[in-house]
Amino acid sequence: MRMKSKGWFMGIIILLLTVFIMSNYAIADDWYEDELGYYTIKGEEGDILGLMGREIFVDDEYITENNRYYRISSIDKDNRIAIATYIDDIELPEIEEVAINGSTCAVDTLSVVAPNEDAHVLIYCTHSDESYVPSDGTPSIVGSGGILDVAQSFNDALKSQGVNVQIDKTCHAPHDAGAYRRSRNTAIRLIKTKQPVAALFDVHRDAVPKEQYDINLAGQPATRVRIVIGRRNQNRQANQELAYKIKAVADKTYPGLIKDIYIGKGMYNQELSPRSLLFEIGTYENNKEAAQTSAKFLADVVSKSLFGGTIKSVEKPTKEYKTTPITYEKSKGQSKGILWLVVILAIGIVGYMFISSGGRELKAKILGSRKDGDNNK
Amino acid sequence: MPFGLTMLVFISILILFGVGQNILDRMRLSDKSAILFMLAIFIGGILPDIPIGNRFSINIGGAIVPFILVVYLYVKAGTKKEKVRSILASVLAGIAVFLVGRLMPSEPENIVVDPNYIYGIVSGLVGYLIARSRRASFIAGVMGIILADIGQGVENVIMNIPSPVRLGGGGALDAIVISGLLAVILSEFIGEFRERLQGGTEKKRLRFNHGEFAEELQPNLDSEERNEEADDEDEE
Repeated sequence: MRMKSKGWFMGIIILLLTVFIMSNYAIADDWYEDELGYYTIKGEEGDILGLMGREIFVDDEYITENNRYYRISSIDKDNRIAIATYIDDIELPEIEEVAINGSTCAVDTLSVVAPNEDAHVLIYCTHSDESYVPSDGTPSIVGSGGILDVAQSFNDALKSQGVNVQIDKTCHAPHDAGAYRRSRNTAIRLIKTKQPVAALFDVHRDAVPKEQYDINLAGQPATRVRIVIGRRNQNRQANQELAYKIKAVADKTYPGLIKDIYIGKGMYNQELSPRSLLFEIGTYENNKEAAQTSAKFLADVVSKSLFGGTIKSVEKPTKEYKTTPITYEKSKGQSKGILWLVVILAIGIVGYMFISSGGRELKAKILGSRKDGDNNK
Repeated sequence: MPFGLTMLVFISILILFGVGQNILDRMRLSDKSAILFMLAIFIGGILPDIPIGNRFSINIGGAIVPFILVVYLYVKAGTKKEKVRSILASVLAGIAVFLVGRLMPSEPENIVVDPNYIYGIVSGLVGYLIARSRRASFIAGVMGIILADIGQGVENVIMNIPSPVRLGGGGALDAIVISGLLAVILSEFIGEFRERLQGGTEKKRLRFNHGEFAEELQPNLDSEERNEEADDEDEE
């Protein structure tokens, strides 16, 4: 009876503590309401590397527009400043330049993917309410956020390039911690019904000032794109390889389109399929139309990165590049992913053995088995 | 998909299957039935969801099979006390999961543990603290998510939120399955850790009978050791 009431008491205490702690977190996450809500990432010399409308943690990784690789070394939570240590310059895959043979156009729709390439590109929006204030009038519309229009533009542009693409515009409101759990079901449903999968993309928009995302590409107002990768899952390397390929192609053809790559602590459903990425297309202060323009450019880059083809640069003088399908490229992602899984499993098993056997209990087990022999079984 | 990536997916599934089967095996299930349940979860998970009205749907592997397992474990629960505790733990876990989903930050990186696992940990903790057994933890882990999802569905209808509720829509990878399995792992770890801290089981003088610690024994060295052995196994 005493144990029963103790269990009850502890259960209620845990429940209250969880609610209390989490409610504090919830206030800190209302980025749109709080203009100073974002973090400033600074180098060790105090130079500003970028702004981030997400929580930042030590050991997160950040790759700048000019391919400098940083790791977050310290965080000043009060002033929302993260200090990043420069590690190295990353080497993006080589993109082959070919002789120019045609007129310039922003999106190279003539170069479609090979018709026998039947793998699907899957698109969904976890935060289906996210919107663009200048166009939608509000940062959030439950059920029909502006982000769905941007994702639709991305989908249509991929389709026009001959890609097998499938968009799922399921609403995942409310915009709370459950949104990723709900969108996980959407992603799994897409993966289940559209095999084989070439890539899985979750389309978002950021919550930092628009200056961070404003850009003019091919003479049109557009927005930059941030790629976010989760570092806590077995597909991380495979996802990172795709992100590098996309950035390499974009840097040559739509310079500035890919703003940066952030490798953060979350998982973002990226454990579900290799080659899963999260795109932040613009920010809530950008025009939705500018974000839609970027979505079209991004589709051009993504289709050529995944399936290969030729792609023209929007800068003058126009150059033409030939890309190989990512399928044919050497990849280290899978072996690292498998190793990651095996290590996690081994840690779990060893941890359990350590806790469950030791000292007296282990001794008792050994002695007991000697005495009783097979009769124990 | 290239061979390497296919292997990565295949090994991920294999590990989940193996871990899942081993966890079910720790409850009152035979080796065969643990494998059968895991197969049912995986195969049922691939099948299309069954629609229930406009806004609700249910997946066989992600929700129906775990629910059948919950009912089986509930019926097989040894004592009335364990049954009552399982129900209470499930309701409290449901409330906790609902509140955690609502009050935690929306971005996964802001949460110490990823959203996929936080629900399992919350319902597992509540389940273990109240029910104190692997079976009841599993029941609370599964039912916590199901009840929280139903609660969200009711809120969606009242507040006119157009989000569908897909119970177990993620199949074998759904939070319902992960939460149930995680709850058992958690109770196993806490139980073993607690036992180690206190230098052995509290139930040395109890006889292990039909999956339960039943009547008290006369203090006798051999039976004590046998019971320690039984305690490690807990259930067959």
